[in-house]
Amino acid sequence: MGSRLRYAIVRAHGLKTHLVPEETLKSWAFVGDDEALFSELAKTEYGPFFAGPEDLRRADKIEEAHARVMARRARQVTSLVTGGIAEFFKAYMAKYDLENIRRIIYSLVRATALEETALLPIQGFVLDVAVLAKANSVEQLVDLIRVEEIKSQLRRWLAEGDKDLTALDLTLDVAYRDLVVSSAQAAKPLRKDGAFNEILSLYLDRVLLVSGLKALLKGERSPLTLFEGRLDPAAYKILRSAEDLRDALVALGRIERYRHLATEVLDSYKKVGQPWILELAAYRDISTWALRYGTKKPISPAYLLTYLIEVEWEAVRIKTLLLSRIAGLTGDRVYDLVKER
Amino acid sequence: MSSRSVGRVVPTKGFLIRLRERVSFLERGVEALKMKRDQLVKEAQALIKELKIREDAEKKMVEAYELLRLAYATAGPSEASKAALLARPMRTKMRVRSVIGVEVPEIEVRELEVVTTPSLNAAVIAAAEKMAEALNEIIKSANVEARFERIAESLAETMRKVNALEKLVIPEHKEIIKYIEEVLEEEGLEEFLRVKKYKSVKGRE
Repeated sequence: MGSRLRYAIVRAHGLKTHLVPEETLKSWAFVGDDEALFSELAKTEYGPFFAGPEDLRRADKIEEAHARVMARRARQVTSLVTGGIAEFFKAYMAKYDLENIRRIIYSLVRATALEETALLPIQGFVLDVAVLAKANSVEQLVDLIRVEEIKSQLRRWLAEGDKDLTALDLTLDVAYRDLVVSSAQAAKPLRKDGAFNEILSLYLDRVLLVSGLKALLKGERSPLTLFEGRLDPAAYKILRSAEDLRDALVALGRIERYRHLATEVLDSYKKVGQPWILELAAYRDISTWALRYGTKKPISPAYLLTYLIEVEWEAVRIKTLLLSRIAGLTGDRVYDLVKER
Repeated sequence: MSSRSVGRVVPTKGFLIRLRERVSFLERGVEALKMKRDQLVKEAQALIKELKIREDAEKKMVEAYELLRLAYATAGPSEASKAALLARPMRTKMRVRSVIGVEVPEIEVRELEVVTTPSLNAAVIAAAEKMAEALNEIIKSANVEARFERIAESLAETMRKVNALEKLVIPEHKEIIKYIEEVLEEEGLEEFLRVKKYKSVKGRE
């Protein structure tokens, strides 16, 4: 391991101490007073994005803080490493670029106006979203993309002809997965690190699984074939054979590595009648597994990935906590949303 | 003499004939109105059952709002902006139908397309679908309520007309007919006496 990579890992350990401690974050669920919560948040990296307690009631400010803190921390990681490893972390964060591409394609396919606010402020890791947003057609947009993994998948989607949006979503997930895997393979220290590969494959597996489950929620099965050979074979088999989402969750619950995720979502089904907690449950699951593998080998590239996953999980939880308060959710409910497993 | 429903009364044979014709016309009108009233009552009774769909619609709306609240908490407005990229405005057609001569408005949903994709937050997908379901129910309920409202208005108006005709207009007409008949009978008797007197005077000469 090179000294620069070693330094980056040690630095990530230092940066980890800047994250909001678990107990503090959970206790915020019960802080009803904006003033008190604002003074708590002011001590964190999210503080500068809120001018006063009244900003805690503004969803746009909350989303901006969430995106900007996450982007800044991710760029901090990519600036600490060089070469293939830096490329990998850029590829990892490309999910936000891809999310923006998805939104641009939606507006082109559905002929709806693309407001600036419809795009995420976190972007520019592997694609120049500002340029792509000016495309007049999906074909033109695909021509402007320079990343082969994304371009080839979108071309294949276009060749199908019907511009099906469910297929588009799964296609972009596949493109993301292929991009991340190929960039990890290209960097020798990452390729050789067992814990890193465990976390990465688990993370990508959850990304595909969540999309697959939501395709089932919509009753669409045929685009799931895109995940063949990419998603865990057991999970893939379940998605293909399940009658509906609930059926798939019950089957996934029988597999140890999916048990917690499936149980949590099935619980939300019981309480609300909908799997509304799916994304949060997946994030929680990824974070738990990443911490488990990442701390096994603390001085390895796996820790950098664990740190980035922790950064995202913290940002998601803070955003959820603040938005839940605006939505009027009770403290207990907010606590359940933001707690660790 | 004058009356509110008849106007200025002219106690002549011609006026009496016209009044009798009018009464017979009014009586036929009352019968027709009574038939309309009975039909409207039947129609309103049939709608009472359908009015209960409002409860379902309200329940669905409450569920949809609860899901929207959860979607807002877990996904935020950015996800809503994304969902808005997929949405197209609901298209409806408004027309007026006639139910026993009563014009009732009817809204028909021509297009209510819920487009969701797997990349949308699960709570947003659920909320969008529930909201579309609730909107459909609310429109059905609005149609039934509008129909019921118009029928009830028309029923009240018909009953007012029947009562006015039966209790006021026709009795007034009949009273005036009776009055004119009496006046004409009196005039006839006077005329008879006048002729008799004239004949006796003429005979004496």
